[in-house]
Amino acid sequence: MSQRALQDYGERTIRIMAKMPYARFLGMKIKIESGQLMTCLPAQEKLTGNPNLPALHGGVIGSFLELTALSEWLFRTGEQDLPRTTSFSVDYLRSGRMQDTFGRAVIIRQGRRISNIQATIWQSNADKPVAVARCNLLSPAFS
Amino acid sequence: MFDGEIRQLPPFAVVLGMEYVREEGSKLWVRLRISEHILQDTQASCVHGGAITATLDNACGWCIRTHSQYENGTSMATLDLRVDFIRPAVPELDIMVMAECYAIQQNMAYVKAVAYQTSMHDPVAKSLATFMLDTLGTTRMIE
Repeated sequence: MSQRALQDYGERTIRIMAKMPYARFLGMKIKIESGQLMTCLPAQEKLTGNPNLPALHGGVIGSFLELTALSEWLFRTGEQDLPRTTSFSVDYLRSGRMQDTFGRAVIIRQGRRISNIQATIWQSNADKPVAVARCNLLSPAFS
Repeated sequence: MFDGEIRQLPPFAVVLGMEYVREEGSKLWVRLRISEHILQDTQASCVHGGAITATLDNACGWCIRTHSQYENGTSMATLDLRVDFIRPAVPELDIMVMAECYAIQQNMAYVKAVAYQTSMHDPVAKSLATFMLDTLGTTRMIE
């Protein structure tokens, strides 16, 4: 893909996600660097699950993984319409601390109807993921 | 029986719009109130899957406390959570989640849950989750 198309797709993805009410509510940000998309979820008190630790809510972790997978799909396909998540599976590997969290996703297979995506999120150390997820997205043409 | 502890909503659950509804045996119901910030897009066509995942995760964790083998105060952490999104949730109706802990074995709790709007028999999403119990190693489970 040309550098130009990649830049257009990146800007379009950022625009679409910036308008999404739920992504705005969580405060998710997107950055594109050297042709790679990375998501960021800045720490905020409202994202707390267990106030005693304090830790991020498991639902925040799940949502951030799903939004990371969705952003990668938009970035790679250049689509304007949103796909529909058909199944989503998350493995929690470490407690998510109240810190900034980062995410990346990889499209394992992009079919005509279904795209299979893997997403990973981490905090201070990219080699120590907080959680990973697998996500099947149904193309908007079929949903 | 679980008054107080169980109704203590995590901060994220409060801002998302979750409410404890009731419990019956090892089943527990949680409601997610519809608000602008849980929507998928600005056209308000459906509720974002991440908000449903978050409610499922919360309800799954809570319902473990209703299980007869759960010892009050035992710490827990979600190990994995799988969600099948069956159909989009319309923004006109609140989302109900019914979660049931169907087994506790060797400090692992097994939970299933369903999210629906009109009837439990017409689900929006179904999920399966496992939780590790006694992650802080402070209590003993009744075997």
